[in-house]
Amino acid sequence: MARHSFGILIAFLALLCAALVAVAVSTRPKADFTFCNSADVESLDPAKAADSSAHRVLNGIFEGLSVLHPATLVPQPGVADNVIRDANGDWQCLTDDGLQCVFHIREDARWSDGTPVTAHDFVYSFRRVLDPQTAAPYPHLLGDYVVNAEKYNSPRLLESGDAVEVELLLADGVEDTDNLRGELLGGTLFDVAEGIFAVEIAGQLRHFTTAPQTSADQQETPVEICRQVLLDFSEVGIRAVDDHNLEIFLIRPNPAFLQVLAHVTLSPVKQTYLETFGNEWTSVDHLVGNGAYVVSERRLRDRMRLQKNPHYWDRDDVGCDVIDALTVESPSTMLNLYEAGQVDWIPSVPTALVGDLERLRSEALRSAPAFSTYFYVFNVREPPFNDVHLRRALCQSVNRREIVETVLRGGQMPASSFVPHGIAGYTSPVAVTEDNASARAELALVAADKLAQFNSGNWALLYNTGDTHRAIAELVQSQWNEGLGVNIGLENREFGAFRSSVARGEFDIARSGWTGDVSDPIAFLHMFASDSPFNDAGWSNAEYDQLLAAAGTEHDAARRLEMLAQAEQILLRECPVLPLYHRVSHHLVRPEVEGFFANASDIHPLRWIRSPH
Amino acid sequence: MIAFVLKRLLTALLTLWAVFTLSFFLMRSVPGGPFDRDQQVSDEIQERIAARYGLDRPLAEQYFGELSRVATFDLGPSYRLTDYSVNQVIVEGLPASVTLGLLSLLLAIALGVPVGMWAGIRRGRVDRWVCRFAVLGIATPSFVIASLLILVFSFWLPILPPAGWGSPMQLVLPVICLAIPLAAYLARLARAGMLETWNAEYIRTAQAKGLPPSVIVWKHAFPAAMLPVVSFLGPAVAGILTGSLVVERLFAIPGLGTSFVNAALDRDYTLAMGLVLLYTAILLVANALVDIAQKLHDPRLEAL
Repeated sequence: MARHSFGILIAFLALLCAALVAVAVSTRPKADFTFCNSADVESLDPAKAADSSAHRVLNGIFEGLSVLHPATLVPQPGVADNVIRDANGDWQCLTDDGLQCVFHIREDARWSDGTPVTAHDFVYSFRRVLDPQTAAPYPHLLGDYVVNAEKYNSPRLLESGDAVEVELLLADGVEDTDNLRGELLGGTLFDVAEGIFAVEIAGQLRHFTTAPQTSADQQETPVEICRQVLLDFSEVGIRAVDDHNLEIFLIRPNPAFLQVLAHVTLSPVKQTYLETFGNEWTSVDHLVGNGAYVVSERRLRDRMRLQKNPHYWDRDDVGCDVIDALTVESPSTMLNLYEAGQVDWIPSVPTALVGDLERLRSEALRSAPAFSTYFYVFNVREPPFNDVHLRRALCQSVNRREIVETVLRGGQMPASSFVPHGIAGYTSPVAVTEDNASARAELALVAADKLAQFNSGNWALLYNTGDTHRAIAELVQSQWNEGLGVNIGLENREFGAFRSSVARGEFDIARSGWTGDVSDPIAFLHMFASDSPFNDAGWSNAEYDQLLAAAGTEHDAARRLEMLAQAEQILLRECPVLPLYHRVSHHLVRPEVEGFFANASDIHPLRWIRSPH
Repeated sequence: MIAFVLKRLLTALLTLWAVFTLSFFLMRSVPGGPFDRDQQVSDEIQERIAARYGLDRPLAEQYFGELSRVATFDLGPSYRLTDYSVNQVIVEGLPASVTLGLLSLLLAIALGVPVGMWAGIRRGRVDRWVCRFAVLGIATPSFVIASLLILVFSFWLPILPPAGWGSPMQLVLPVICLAIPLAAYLARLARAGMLETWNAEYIRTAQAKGLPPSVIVWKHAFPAAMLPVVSFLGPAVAGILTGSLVVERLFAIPGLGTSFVNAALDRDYTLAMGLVLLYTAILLVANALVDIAQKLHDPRLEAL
């Protein structure tokens, strides 16, 4: 027995392995087009997806009212067939005053189960994006444009006299994850105090709260517990006129809204499936979309296989029958797979190799400046960085070209402004000066007490752990040291810890970055409005806020961009930010693949891609 | 034996509970949360998402809620991979990790044990060379081995795919890569075991009796020489499942290693917890199996 036990153990392990290999190895036919989709898709629910991997496949599975042409980023008809310009260059879907959009849902739009897509599906999906219970990451895509959408999304904005809907608690046995709503009561908000909503319903004043722990019994009047109190959705400017006409009312004229509608978040989802399958509706068995492809297989950390949707309205013009999206996180592995001929597109390349690839794979390398800025932000809440001269001195003594050429070496563009280039009609005002002499002159202007404090203190540049962030920080640190003779320490933290320090304002200088979701300067400039949740600097400037507000109501497009340029000028003069470079995206795509375009928004709709396989 | 199993089971449960408690509080004491993203989402929305998963509740409430759920083998939803529950992540990823791990283990045993025994018996030059290779094998990081293997077998001699999962060819490189350090370690253990056994008096007796060398080696020396190897196999099984992270990443293998590290980095509390508990359980089971195997293998060990 003793002698055999080792052998038995080995034999057992071998058998187990054989069984597992048999399970693991599958025989599936090769796809027409295979690409590496970096990390795993976090969610296939368009309202909740926030990661770029999800967006890469979701634009094939769902389709919004408009779609963006990948070469020009100009809105094209999607589910709405009237997103086109007429002879005068006006958008057919917009009324003359530009405040009302009427979208015509194409007659042949179908879900992947064959049923028609209607205007009601969009009302349902848009309301769902705005519902706080959905906890969608990008409700502002509607909130910033559509009448009362922000108010619906943020109950804290409710005022007395507003028409409201009280959503009662879910019925017994219904779970929060079932995508169902509680019973709705319509009424008029009388007032809100300490989380208790007094609502007049059918001539009767009733009190509601969403927080069960508030001491309800201390109140004189009985307080009912509800799920939430929201603005009555009929007040929001989204309405289905009939099955094929959808009306949307805008806060102000803004043709950029047609671009926003192409965002994955605003794709329609099918109510009956969400309500029947709850959180399971995104599983391969239940997922119903309206895009060019459907998901036929999904394996975590391995692949997602997409198949042509036989019900898609433009099915005859879809480029591939089968697409494989492989989960591959490491850029080196992606490159290995590309070089070995196993994949047709990789969405990023190892930065160290960009130069070599430009030489050796020039026919396959597609690069485009992204609508994205990498910058440092100063904590202007406290001295010494509340001194504009100190900030300017630090800003001017940075040599951005050196950063791009020695550290990044990926063809990135040195940032001479905060808003990236490439927005039609917009030129960023003053270029950021880079000059050690003027930087020293600025340093001399710093108030004596602050300078003393600056020279005696230990100040740190905070960044989240990462090789590139570190290399840039080290170079900037040495440039400051050489140019100004100042010593600023470096501090790195893991991303979560880094973010919470920055959010709490516990930093001196911190790394930051931003990617615009529409190609409009406001996508960047809004970040530093006094009330912006992304204003990490804690910077506030009345004139700046005023310009942004005025630009928001300005009808004349050229005049509006002029105001925004003035605002950017203030931002660059006051220097709460230190722009460093604009990112550039790099893809390797087999030269014979058609319909792939590198663009500033880094979107690559799968339905355009044609593979010769 | 029954008493032994019961005792083992009780200790295992206590260990799992302790691991759960420690991980629960350690994870939540680290700054940041599962819904931190790169600057694109406002705090208000983050709070909503946190509230959706009950992360706004008092810590004690969260602890007992999660403990009672985990006790029913429901590891909860993944906070990051929102289309999946932790149980589903494990069901999808474990077979790949286990296949990769066990194949590597078999290869490592097949390579390491005979070579180690040979070195232990032959000594001298053979021994020195085996030791050198063993040290090299243990010391070389797996990403170096992986890069070399890919370079040679995928590009110079393009016979094997550089990454991926689903065909037997795609298994070859990661298995070799994972097996090399383990084989080196096993070779050293087998060599040490053999070295010690070979000097024992009963071996000398066997030699004096004039038994053929193969009988001496396999019948008399082998069982005793394997003791250190067998006792190492328990931790090795757990180690090869958790330690395959780099290899899984480089070869894009849909196992649990990547999930584990991503879960920790992303503060995906439930997924990280689920995997910590899974690995603890695997380690406990592997160690128990090894104890039993040793008991069967070595009659000198007293009742367990």
